[in-house]
Amino acid sequence: MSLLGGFLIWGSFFLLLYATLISLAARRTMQGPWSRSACRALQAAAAFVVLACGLLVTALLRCDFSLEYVAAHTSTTLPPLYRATALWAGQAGSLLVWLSLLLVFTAATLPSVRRKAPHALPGFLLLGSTTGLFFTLLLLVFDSPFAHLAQPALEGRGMNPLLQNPGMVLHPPLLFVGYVGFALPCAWAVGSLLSGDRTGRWIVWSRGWTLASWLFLTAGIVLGAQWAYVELGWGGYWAWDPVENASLLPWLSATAFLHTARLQERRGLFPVWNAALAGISFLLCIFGTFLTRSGFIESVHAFSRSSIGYYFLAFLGLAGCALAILVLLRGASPHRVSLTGLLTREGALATTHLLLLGLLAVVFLGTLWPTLSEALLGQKIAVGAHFFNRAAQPFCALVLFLLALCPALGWRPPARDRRTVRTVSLVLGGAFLAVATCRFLAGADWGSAILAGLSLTATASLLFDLTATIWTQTRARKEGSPLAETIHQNRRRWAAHLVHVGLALFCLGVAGSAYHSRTFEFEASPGQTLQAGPYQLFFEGITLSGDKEKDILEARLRLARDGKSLGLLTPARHYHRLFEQPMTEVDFRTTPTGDVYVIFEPLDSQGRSSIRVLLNPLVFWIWAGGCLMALGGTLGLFPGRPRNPAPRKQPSENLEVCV
Amino acid sequence: MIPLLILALLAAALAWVVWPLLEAFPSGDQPVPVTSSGLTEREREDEAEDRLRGRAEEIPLNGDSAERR
Repeated sequence: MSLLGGFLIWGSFFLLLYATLISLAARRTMQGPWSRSACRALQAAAAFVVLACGLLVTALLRCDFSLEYVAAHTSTTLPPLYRATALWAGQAGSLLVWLSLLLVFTAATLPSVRRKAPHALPGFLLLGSTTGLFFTLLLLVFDSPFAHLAQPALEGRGMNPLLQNPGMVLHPPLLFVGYVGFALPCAWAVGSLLSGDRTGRWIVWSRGWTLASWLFLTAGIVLGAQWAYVELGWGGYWAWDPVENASLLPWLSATAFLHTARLQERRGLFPVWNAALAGISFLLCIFGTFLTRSGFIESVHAFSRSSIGYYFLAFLGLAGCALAILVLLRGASPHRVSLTGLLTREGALATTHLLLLGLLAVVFLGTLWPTLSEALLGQKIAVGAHFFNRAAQPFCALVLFLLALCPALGWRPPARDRRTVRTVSLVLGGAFLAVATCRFLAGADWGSAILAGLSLTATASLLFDLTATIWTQTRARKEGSPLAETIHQNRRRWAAHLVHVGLALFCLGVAGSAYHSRTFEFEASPGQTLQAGPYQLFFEGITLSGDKEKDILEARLRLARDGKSLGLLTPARHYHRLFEQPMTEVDFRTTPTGDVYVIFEPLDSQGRSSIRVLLNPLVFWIWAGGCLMALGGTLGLFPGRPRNPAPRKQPSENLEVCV
Repeated sequence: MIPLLILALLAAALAWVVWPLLEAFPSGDQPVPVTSSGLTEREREDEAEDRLRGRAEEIPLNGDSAERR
């Protein structure tokens, strides 16, 4: 097993080296047999790495403790599903997954590159193969998943109980797909720029990958937040931890890129900046992987501190310089185009992208501040969640305001007609009213009242726009199934509106829960009733149970409000046999207005316990908003039918528009 | 068993990668493509080069290409 695994990694290394050398040597004239051979080398490397992944999964499922990785991350008592997910529970395994996704995605896109833009093939191949080469090198030099033990272990160390959650099955692979996917828009940009293609068509060809990666990253982040909320037992979902921020950074740059890509696709705006944003998104994904693996910044999510970080830094530095030089030298478009105006949809998109990049800069500096302050001031200063919450507020509020305003704006400058003035006034009035309601009726502080009010205004504005579109178009269309036809014809608009409504609802949830969560702490014995805000919790007792992996101590709390029973909450404490530290299992009741979240910790053998009750308002809308964003992103990915089915006059310009 | 599997994988990968290069070599059975002027591609290139050097008249037109002409 170890021998075969090692061969597969070495084999993929040499195949990628060959592909890199060919694409470097024949940058301009990579045609014919050499091109096919280099592409086949990358495809063969992808097959080798996928085989290596399969081999490791087999070893994990069979509990082959002769492999160091298997012994370190599984045990015979672990359920098979979690044994398989141990593939990404450790550093070497997750690097292997990263590599296999990268090579599979690149290999799968190669035929499309050869068909649509053969001139971009060398650059495209170069980025995929060099990045793959770097990760293969890490697996060979630094951390091999196939390293074998001199003496096979009798039993494995098992998996950290925190990772034994359904979230673990989906959250890391979704993030990986999101991270790796951003390599492809960057590869398209590099391929086009290297070949001297300044038409900017790469933005259309790469849009499907950009949107798919964004979708997976969004789903991964939301699912990770949900996992933290359910499993980690501290009552929150986002702690502004460096590794959490590391996933937010590429999300922000990719979201900005999606907005400016729309402008380039439409009128050729920002060609240089778009190439730079594709590169920045890709580099931020590598940066996120670096933060998780290097241990440079302390984080609950990070692997232990190791020298692998220096390899990542070297790769980031080299790739960053190469991309910057390429974009500066080759990115400029022969046509200079400027915005039609600030009070247009173009202006709103450009401003939104600037706000997202502003927030990115704040999160980036805040995340690196402990390291920067130590280097600059000689003193390690960490910034906490309070800083990030406050700093993010104005950016989010302005983005939400633009979201509310955008449906009222046209692509061209307003003609100052009565209709536009009326719509803009309506949005402004609605925003003012919503903020005032949240501030004075709901009792929120100014910051969260502005956020919540603008979230509600944006949601209302977007839904009104969608309804108006459906109404006018279904009335104009008399035959067929009008609604389905309308959705199909405006698929991109629907997708964008769904994503934006999802974002607005997400922000509403954040405004409620991040700034208005209330905590009640009790020391109680069975038989007592606890009052937490408007809720009463009757402590019925504690039960002891267990299975072959752990002992379970479970509290039974009857939840009621105004004397009306709302159900039973059973927070618990798990004592795993293979792990010393007990695990907290929370329980909560969720409704659209708020969650009642209970954490239990036994204090003595007589049943005296510490019970923490958190009232988290509007958390439900975070998950609902996340689902809507994912739904909108998925809708946007489906290929659309052209509006005019008649053949175009210029077939050469009939480029496939994925989204 | 494992060494045999490794050898098989290695051979398959090599064949897969090298095949397009081998395929590009013209075999003896295949006719050399002739351009519209009746010369092979290589002959046309050689003549063009000679003409550039001003030596086209010095070279007698004989052999296959002359017959074809």
